[in-house]
This record gives sequence, structure tokens and C-alpha cells, in this order.
Amino acid sequence: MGIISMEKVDHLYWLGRYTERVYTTLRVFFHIYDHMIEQPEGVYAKYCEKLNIPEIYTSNRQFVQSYLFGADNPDSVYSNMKRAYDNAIVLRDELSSTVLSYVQLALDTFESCRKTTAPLLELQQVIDDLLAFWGGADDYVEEEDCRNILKCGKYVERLDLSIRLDYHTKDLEKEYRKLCNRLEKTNLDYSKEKLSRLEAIILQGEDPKSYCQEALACLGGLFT
Amino acid sequence: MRELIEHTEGINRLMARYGVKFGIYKNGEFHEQLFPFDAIPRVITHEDFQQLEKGLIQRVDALNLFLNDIYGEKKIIHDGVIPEEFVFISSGYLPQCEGIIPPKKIYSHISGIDLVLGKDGEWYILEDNLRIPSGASYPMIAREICRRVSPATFGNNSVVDNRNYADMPKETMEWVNTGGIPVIMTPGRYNAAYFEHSYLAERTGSALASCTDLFVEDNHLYYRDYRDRKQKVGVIYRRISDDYLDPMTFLPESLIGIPNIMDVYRSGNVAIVNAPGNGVADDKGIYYFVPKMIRYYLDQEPILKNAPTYLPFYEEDRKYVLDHLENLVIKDVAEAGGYGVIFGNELSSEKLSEMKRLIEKESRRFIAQEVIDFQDMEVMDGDEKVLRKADLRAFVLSGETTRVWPSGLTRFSRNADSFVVNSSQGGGFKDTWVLSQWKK
Amino acid sequence: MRKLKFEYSMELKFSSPVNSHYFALRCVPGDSLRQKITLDVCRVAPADYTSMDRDGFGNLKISGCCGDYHDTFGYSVRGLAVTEGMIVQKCPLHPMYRYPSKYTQYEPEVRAFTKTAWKESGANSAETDLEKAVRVMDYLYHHFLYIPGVTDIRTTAADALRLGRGVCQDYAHIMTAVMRCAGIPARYVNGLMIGEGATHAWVEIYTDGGWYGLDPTNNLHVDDYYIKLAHGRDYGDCEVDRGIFRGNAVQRQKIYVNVEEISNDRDSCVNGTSRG
Repeated sequence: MGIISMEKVDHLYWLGRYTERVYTTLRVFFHIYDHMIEQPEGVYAKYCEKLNIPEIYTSNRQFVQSYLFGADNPDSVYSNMKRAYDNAIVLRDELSSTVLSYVQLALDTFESCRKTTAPLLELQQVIDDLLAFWGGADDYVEEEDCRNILKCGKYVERLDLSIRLDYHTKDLEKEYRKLCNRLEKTNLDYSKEKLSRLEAIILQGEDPKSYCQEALACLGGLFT
Repeated sequence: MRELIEHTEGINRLMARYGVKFGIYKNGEFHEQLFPFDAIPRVITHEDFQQLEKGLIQRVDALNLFLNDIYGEKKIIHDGVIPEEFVFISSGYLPQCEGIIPPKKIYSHISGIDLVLGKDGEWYILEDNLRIPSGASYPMIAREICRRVSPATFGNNSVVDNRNYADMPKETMEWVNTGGIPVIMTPGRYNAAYFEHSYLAERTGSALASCTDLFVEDNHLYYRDYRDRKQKVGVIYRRISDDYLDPMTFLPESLIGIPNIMDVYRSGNVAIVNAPGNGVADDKGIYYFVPKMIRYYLDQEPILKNAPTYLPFYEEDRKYVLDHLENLVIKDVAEAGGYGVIFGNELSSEKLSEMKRLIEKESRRFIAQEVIDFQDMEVMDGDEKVLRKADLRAFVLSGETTRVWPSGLTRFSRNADSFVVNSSQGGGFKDTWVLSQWKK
Repeated sequence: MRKLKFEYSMELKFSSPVNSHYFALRCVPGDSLRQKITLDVCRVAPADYTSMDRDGFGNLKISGCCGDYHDTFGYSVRGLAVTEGMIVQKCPLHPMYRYPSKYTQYEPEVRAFTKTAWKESGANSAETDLEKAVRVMDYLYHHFLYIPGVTDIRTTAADALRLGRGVCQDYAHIMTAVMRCAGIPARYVNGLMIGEGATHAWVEIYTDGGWYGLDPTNNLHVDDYYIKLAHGRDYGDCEVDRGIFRGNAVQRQKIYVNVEEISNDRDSCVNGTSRG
């Protein structure tokens, strides 16, 4: 159809961000879950601090349940999945029913395995669905603009999480280049100033840790 | 067929994946519900369908002529075929549409006609839906999945393919297009039929738009994209009701409408599918007069029957209704979607006399119908076959010609004793098979 | 026959700027059997575009939009009307004017008032519909108080009857409802009247194959000192101006109406003050 409304741009961008957030935090969670076997209670506190989400949990067990499945917990992976779905559902004609169905499947998986005793066994399906979603998006989303905006959202989120979770400079550089690559292809209005400041922090070896907050602010303010 | 039934659960699972749902409001909260699918199809023979097709085309053609007449010359009123109060008191009559000639003179482009099959083997029309009838997407997607699940079933039965439904509204939209892109306008994802809006947008290649994407400028309708470029809209399939369509002409408090779209429409610069003002023709009170319209406009005998209906407005009918209320179905003409339907036999004697008083006081507000003894359909309830009430919504598309989709939405009631088959009140749906002429 | 010079202007002031302002205006009088209009000025500002067409009732309607932020909006219409008074404007009857509408439902107050007015005014014994209507108008005029500020644009005929007072819109709604309730088709009219003041409302009843104007607020036949803007089943069909905009602003409206007669002898003018 060749035209995308402002509102849809917004949905595409946030769909990219939330699917990426679910995907990456879920993968990170696999590691945390593993660590918890040997570590004392409360290992999640540091993780919460890094992600800048409130530490509202009472035990490792409760953290697992609430952080993964908490419907009332706005920072749970499930809540983020729900947001991804809310953005996707209004994009059927851009995404196609085929691609949209993977978001639906991922959400349904969350909802059906809430009571499980082995969450990672079931949630592997969510990771598979999200990978299928991205593969499908590449293949079936016909409008190039749509794909680029979607991926912009994805790489903004990826970079955001990479900074928060102290990824290696090499990784940040890699994700930054992916973002720039997409950004050039879209016709989105973004702040060139903030992008170049972000570049300075990431590429010119300024110690990313001490500039972490500034980098995040640049990233968050890219489109405002 | 057994194969299909065995895999009912799997079919429903696939449908869930594609988001085959409808929305429902409970206690003011929005919920999405799956629309349960029953694998036993409704089967309509080739001969039966031919008859249905003729009757439906005849009916919709007459209804379109009626709408042209009412917003134009009003001959049917002058000739005394329909008492004018039935037309001009109807809340569906919009004087703001007076004198407008819609592109290609089509008012009802996509009509959903509800029928039931009587025990006598005859089809009876229950009601006409000429505003924003929905439901075609469900059987369309169900067929796709059923063919996947049981090719043998479709190999052994020659069923007319119904998966091309989207082509029909698409062709209709192209036919009335005034020169611009096609859009489907939705009030948003919290609408009961949102799944259908988005699915049809995908399948017809229309842009799915909300009111914020559309605007009027210099007597044309435009779609605005994120780079602030605008594209002219030639046809809008709007899925919001007339009242909310244009806050400058109808309800001023509407936040989901497009200001001044009625001016664009009046100037002939955009086609609105279905046309505003259609409510006057699918009014439950006007229903009574449709057979008369067919005779008046087409000079033909109606092929399909109405359910026997009485208008308390006429003294003779009123007397009959008051005397036989306990055997009749009473419908409030102002209500839609299965609401406002009252079964006389379910009323206590107190409620019965209350109803009688109401009918006497507001005789124009109600119609009364005989309870049609209609054929029950087999539905799977677990491993058991049970009988349920079911109706059929046939979709009639008016473009260059009038055509009937060779399928339809068959809905059945959830409870054994319920006559109400509306999806907003529970219940599920079936595929509707029309057999082809060539038997296998 | 009379020549009237008219001027009608409206100005809205918003307490803070608004945008995406769409409007539909019925502020321009159109030609009819009883008035011929020559427009000198017709200005709507600010506006990105305007267009003029007839609406479903046959009234002239200007619609348009002002997309950018603005804190005032207004229009100004000036021209000359050649009018004819107290005539039946022959025209086929649209049946909708026979039935109750949003503002003119036959609520108990309307039915009761119709019954009494008919009896007390002697309309029962009058011969023609026009005579009946004139008697009922006289009755209404003497049994309803002209008091501004107690009713508003949402007040229906029944509401106004309950209150026993109101302004021209209420007189017109009651008259319309009562006429229809008694079987005489009637419609609501917006317009201007000789003198300086505001817009006015009156009614037209259908009699003798056409429309005839009556002004129940002033207990007068509509003569050639009236200029009609628009008509409909009731106020809701023919609002003089409707607008919607984005922004949270308080608006203040200023209206100026002046209608003067131009006599052949150039120096003299007929002046007066109309009650709206």
C-alpha cells in the first residue's frame, strides 16, 4: 500500500523495542536462573538495579514468578510481551497474518505456562516464536519502510539493554553500527546531535560505564 | 468429515494462532474471546443455493432501490406502499443524506442478510443488516484451516471455494472508487469486530486507518502518512456507525469521526461503504415492508419469505399481537445484536401485561413475529452430538452486479434452550458449504 | 417588498490557542421565494480553505478548517436582501416535518400544552390551519415568559414548557412541537430580524401548499423585515455555527447583527431592536 501513518510508525517502532526486550531479557534470565542454583537469596537485586526497575521482590522464587509472569508487575517479561502484542495487533495489514501469528503464539505461551514448575522449558517456545517473528518479518513484511522502522526499534532496544547490562565495548559498537545502518534507511526524524554524542561515547573509547546514563539519555531521546 | 470432527481442537488451536477473535465488553472491561468453531458444516445444495442466491439478490436490489428512492423522490411513499411514519421516525433515516447520490447509486455495498431454515425446508429472512455487517472473515479462515486438516473431506465433497471472499468487497470498492486509495476505517482494536477489520484490510490490500490518519481538505478526503505526505482516498469502508462518522454533521461529541467527510461525500469525491443513512432500510419496522418493496420496485414476487410479522402500528395487527403475545417474539426496533428480543412464552403474567401496555403506548417501537419452527443443527459437545439453534448470515455484494458469496456465517447458540445465536451472547460458528453443480 | 441591508458577524476568542479547528457555518442567507440575496462580503478567518454547498435541508453551509494554532476565529457576512413578507412559499412538503424530532418530542408537557392551547385559544373553531396556528401562537406568547439565561441550546420543547420561560429558540421549539402534535407540519427557522441585536429563531408552518412564517417570540407574522438563514426539524438540524478544535480553551463569543431598511428616500431607515 506504500503509505504508513504516524501512528503506525509509532507502533512499528515499539513493536521492535518490546519484542527485543522480551527476547533479550528472557535470554539473560536463563543465565540468572542458572546462577540462582548456587547463589544466595537476592541475586536479582543487582539485575534490577542495572535495568533500573524497582526491586520489589521478596525471594528468588517469588522473583522468578513475578518477574516472568506477573500481570500486575509492569516490569515483568509478560507485561512487556503484552505490550509487544498491543503494538502488533494493530499492524496486521503491515505485518501480514503470518508474521502477526508468532507474536500471538508467544503471548499465548506465556499465558498457558504461568503455573508451570519448569518455566524455562516452556519459555524456550517464546524465544523460538520471537526468532520466527523476526525471520517472518524479513520475509513477509513487504514494505521496506516498515521493516526498517521495526528494526530501528529493535536495535535501539538492543543497544539500550547492552549498555545497561555492561556489554563489552566491542558489542556496543556492533549494535550501534546496526542501528545507524537502519536509521539511514528510514525517513524518520531523529536528533543528529544526540546520535553523534552517542557515537562519541561508544566509538571513541570514552569509558562507557561512566557515561552510561548520558548514553542512555541520548538513545532514549533520539526520536523526540 | 469424521477427520474434521476429530481435529476440532487442533483447528481451534490454529485459529487462536491467527487471532480469530471477537471483542466483548463485560462490566465495562474489554475482553477478547475466541469464537468457538464447530467442525460439522452447514451444507447447502447447489439447487438450494441457486434459489437462495436469486432471492437474496432480488432482496438487496430492492433495498438499494428503496434507499435511492427515500433519499430522492420518495415515490414509494407517495404511492402509499409504505406509511411515511415508518420511514421518517426511524432513527436510521438521516435527513442530512437527502439529495445525495452515492457513487454508482449504490447504498448497500456489503449486506449481511440473516436467515433461518424452517422445518418445512424453507428459508426465512430474519433481518437485513445494511450498515456494518461483520462475520465473513470467520468462515473464510476456517475453510483454509479445514482444508489443511482434512484434504480428503474436501476431496470427497465438491464444495465451492469460499476463500476468495476478500476479492468481492475489493471489486465492489474498486467499482465505486472515485479515484484514490481504498481504506478500511476502524474505530480501533477495542471494537468487537477488530479482527475482521484488520484481516480484511490485509486481504483487500486496503490501508487500515483510524480517524487520526484521515482528514478532509478542500472537499477531498486524505490519508496522512508519517512523512506528512497525503494520499487521496477514493473509497472508505468505514466500520463505525453513522452517528459517529462526522462530528460536524452528526453527533458533535464523536471523537472517532472525520470532520466534514459528509461534505466530501455529498460532492461525490469519495465513496462511503456502506452509505450513511442505510439504517432506514434495515430498521426492524421496515423489514415488514421489504416484500412490498420487491413487488413495487422490481415488479416481482419475493422469492424468499419474511418470518410472519405483525406491526402493532396497524390496529388489526395490534389486536392479534395483544391476544397472542405469549406465542410471539417481540423485537424492539431500536435495539441491535440480539438485544431487545423478547420471547412472549418466557414472560411472567405480570411482565406480559407490562409488555402489552408498552405495545399499546409505543406501538411503532415494536414488531412481533411468529416463532419459526426452525431446523436444529448438529453441534459437537465434547464427544457427543447435540442439537442447537442456528442461523445463517449470507453476504451480498453490490458492485457492477449483485453477487452472493457462496458460503456464509452459520452461528449456533450455546445453550440447548436458547434461540439467540448472536456471537456477542456466546455461541460459536460453523463453516457453510455450498455444494457445486458437479458432483464428485 | 423591501430592501434590507444586513450585516452579521461573529467573533470567537479562545483563552489559549487551539488548532485543528473544523467548522460548519450556516451564516449566509440563501435565495428563496421570499428573499433574494446579494452578498457584498463573506469572510471566514482564519481558514485554510472553505467551501460552500447546500446541506440535506437545502440550507447554505460553509465548511472548512483552520489547522494551525489560533486564538480568534470569526466570520462576517454583509449584503443586501430583497424580501417579501407574509407569503406562502409554495413547495412540496417533506414528510419529516410532520413528525417529532429530537427537540420536539411529544412528551406529556407538549401534549398537555397542545390540548389546552387548542381549546383556550379558540383554535378549535378556526377554519384554516393558518388561523389555528396564529391563535395558538397568540396563546403561547401570552403563556410563556421571555426570560434569557434560564434555558440553553440543549433545552427541548418539553423542558422549556416545564420551566415556563425561555428565549426565541424555546418559543420556536414549543410552537413547532405543538403544531406537529396537532397535525400541522412545521419547521424551525434561524435568521435575522430588523434592528440591531442577535440572531433570531421562528417557525414556518405548512399550509396551503407551502411554508408560511410565524414568529411566536414576538407574536408576529413573518413579514419582510425578516431574513432567513436556515431551517430544519429543530435547532439541531440547522445550527448557525458548529466547530470542533483541539485545545483546552475557554471561548467567548461576540455576535453582531444589524439589519436596516434601505428606503428609496435614502435618508430614512427603519430601526428597532429584535428579541432573540
